[in-house]
Amino acid sequence: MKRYIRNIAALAVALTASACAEMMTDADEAEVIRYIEVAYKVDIHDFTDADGNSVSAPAEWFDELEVKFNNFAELTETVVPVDAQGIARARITPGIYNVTVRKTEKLDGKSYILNALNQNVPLIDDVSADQIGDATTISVRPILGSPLCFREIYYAGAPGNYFRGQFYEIYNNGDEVVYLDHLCLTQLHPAYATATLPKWPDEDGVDKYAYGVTLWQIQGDGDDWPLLPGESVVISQEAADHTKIASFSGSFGLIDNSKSEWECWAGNPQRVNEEVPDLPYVFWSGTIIKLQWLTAVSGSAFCLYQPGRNLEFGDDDYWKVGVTTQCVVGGSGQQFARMPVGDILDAVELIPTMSDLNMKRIPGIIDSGAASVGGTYLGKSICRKVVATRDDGTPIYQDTNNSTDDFEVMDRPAIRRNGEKRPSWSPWAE
Amino acid sequence: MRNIKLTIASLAVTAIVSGAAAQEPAEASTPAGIERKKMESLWFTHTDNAAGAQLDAMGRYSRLGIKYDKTKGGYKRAQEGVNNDSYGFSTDGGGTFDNLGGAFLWGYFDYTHDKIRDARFNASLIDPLRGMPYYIADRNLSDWINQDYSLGLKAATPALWDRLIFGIGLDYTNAQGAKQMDPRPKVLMSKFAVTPSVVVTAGRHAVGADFAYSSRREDGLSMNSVIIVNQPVWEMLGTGFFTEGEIGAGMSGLRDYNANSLGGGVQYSFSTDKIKVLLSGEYTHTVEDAGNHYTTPKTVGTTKENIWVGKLDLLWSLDDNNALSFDAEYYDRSLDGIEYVQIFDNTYEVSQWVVLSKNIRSNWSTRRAGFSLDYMNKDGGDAYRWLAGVDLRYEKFSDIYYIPRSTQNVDDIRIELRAKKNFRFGDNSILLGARGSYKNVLDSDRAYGGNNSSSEIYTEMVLHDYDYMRCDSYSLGGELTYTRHGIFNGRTSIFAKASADCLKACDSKIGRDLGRRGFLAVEVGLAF
Repeated sequence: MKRYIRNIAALAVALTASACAEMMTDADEAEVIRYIEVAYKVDIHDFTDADGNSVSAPAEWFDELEVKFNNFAELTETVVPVDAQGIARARITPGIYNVTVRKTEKLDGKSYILNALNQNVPLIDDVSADQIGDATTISVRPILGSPLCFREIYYAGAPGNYFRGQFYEIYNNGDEVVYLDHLCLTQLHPAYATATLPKWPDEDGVDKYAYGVTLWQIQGDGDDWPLLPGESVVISQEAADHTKIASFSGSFGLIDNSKSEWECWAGNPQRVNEEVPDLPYVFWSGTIIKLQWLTAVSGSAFCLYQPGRNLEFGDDDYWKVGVTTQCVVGGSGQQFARMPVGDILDAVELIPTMSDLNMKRIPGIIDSGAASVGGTYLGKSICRKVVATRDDGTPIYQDTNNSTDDFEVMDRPAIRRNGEKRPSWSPWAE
Repeated sequence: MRNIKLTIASLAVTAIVSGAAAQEPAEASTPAGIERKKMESLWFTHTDNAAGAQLDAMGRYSRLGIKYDKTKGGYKRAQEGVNNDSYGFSTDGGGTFDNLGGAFLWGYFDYTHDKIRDARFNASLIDPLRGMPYYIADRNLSDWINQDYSLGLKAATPALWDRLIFGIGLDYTNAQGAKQMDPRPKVLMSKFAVTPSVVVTAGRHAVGADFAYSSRREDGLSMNSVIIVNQPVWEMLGTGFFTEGEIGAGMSGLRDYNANSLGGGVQYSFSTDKIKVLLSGEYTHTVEDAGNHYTTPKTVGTTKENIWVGKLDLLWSLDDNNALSFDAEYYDRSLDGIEYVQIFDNTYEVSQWVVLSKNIRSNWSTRRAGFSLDYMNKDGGDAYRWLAGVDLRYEKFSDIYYIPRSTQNVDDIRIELRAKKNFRFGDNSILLGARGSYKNVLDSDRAYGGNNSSSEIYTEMVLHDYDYMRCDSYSLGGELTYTRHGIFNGRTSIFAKASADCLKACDSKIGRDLGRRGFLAVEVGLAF
């Protein structure tokens, strides 16, 4: 017995000593930090123009092109120009970086967005031009700019934990009519911002798809819902005058969105507004929450997805794993809507605070940044920045597919705050 | 668990008390007598070498007391409470036991219960000033309720072959801290230390060495009791460097600390009837990891601490009634803050944070040199009649965050004067003491290269603490101890002690008044 105890004691001492020695050796290996010099290659791919032709990027598109290195853990931003060889050279601290390229160019009168994001790139040592590889190359695929965009999103709730006033205002920022038929307001997966992103099957590639949790669709024949330049529509969680509704803590909402164009009614009979049309949900991953469609007050990610047809919830002929849905590797088998990024007209990444940019969850080609009101239940909203005004007084908003730059935080939510117009077919049109 | 600890502690106390009581001290033990014993026991007081305590021939004593402490006032570090109460029980005692073959055995047990009021910027640590830069700080003023149990012993063999002594020191601490306002963690801390030692004697000369190992764990999960209100916090990395987050909005409120420490010391002493000299040096190397998750751990940071201490202690008996005590010390502490570059490998087979690189991002350094000189006039018994002394100490605090480069340096010098007079009236005695100190800041500077200079935690904690350190200050205090000798068969004393100090900031260097802080301590107990 004594020998048994002695052996156990000796083993415990040995294990403790081993763990202690490893811990100390690891710490002793650390050296004082220094700046590293990183060379990063920008590669602009051929793209499809407005006429359907494959074209190469004009040489002048490389002029004044810049690469931005963001270290969100340390709140640093380093912007460096690209040289004639397409190489950007940055002097940065070792860390995890979001590397972005963002520029808007014109070709044959059409606007193209050169947007690219390499997310969570570990840059921990010097990289010379000779050492550039896939891990230090950013690929840019120019895409035709879409006039349809989120103008304002009120997601974070009001003081007193009032969350039913959430709304999404969608705006025609271009100079041509856009038809809203088939457009899906989509909440993306993960519903809550997280640094531990899901792993998708290899066949989906990198940044080719975004994955939806819930899709609400504006259904029509293709020309039922025209939206003219300068017009907007409002889609609400619950269309109501929330300034007259008290939360369970006794405080009231901040917004009257009772005259929304649509509401996302999930099935709660006590929460339906008969005067406002309901959007149907055509996809809902996991359990359907009928109480309300509440998105994260700490920030979800949203996109406007155009599948080009009317969809139907539970349509097994359409929703197929690996085609229009996908499952997380190692997950429970729960399906999420699989949407090609080329069919996404706009996307906005919302995060708890601007320190959480390492939690981005959607491909940088559709939103290379993120926005935040900086907390929950603050009664604030995000609104796109005005860059110009049309002759009719309607605003033109900034849309560079980078929410960090494109949006600003507003102290209170407002619908059509800058003179946007209501479409003539709206139930509330005068 | 708590009962087990109390039982163990009670047994330890009982062993100490009963063991000591079996002996026959020359006269009743008193607080002043115990203070003198410890001053004259150079190895016991100034080293961690338990074996060396045999050379001190300190005799035996035991002491137990119930105490109450109060601290109040605004001249404080930002993370300290404004108004704190502490209740406790402490006992220590032992010595050389003839009935154990001349072995030395000494032990202690302390229990404190603290109520800390209106502390700020800490939602992770029982002691936010212990030198751990990786913690969660919140905005809310909050109370903390802390408990601390500490027990330990020093034991040494008799001198084997009149030359060789082996010893060991064991220490165990268990503490709990509970924050009383969201975000609120319940923090648990335990520490175990073992210090084997040896001394070789050769006539008046003795050489000793000790080895020290300690393990320390501390963890607490900050959560919200009011779950519908998220709490914004800062995840601290260094003074003025942090990331922001919200408890309740997805971030982990856990901080899980794991520290291991190795070290040792060497000693040399020389003693005659008139003089005792002890030279000692100690080195401690401590590494502490701070993680934020139990099952998917991400290392928030690591600290690597090196402490070097050199001491010269001298006791000179001028004659039978007068003695001088001189203690000089050089202390050098350097703490590196290591931060990691990590990425989450989300492949199904791995699903964990992977460390890609690590670097020392910060360093906190403290250098201190000083001495204390005391004159003691003995009263013919075990205690003293007069005790008067002076402390002089130079300190240099240097902090750096390497990139973006931010530095803070403060140099100061402190002087303390103190005197105690022990009045004896038959079986009663009154010990009166007075003390005063002055800190003069010689130089200070601060440069900040980060992006957070307008944040609340920077202006109200970092800059406040800088002002706290760089302002001159003085303190005045005194103590009064009443002792009744000769109770319980004549070997025991009962005492009551009250001590008060007031620390006042001077505003000449910083242009604003940081106020004052008062300290009150009351204790009643037995010495035997």
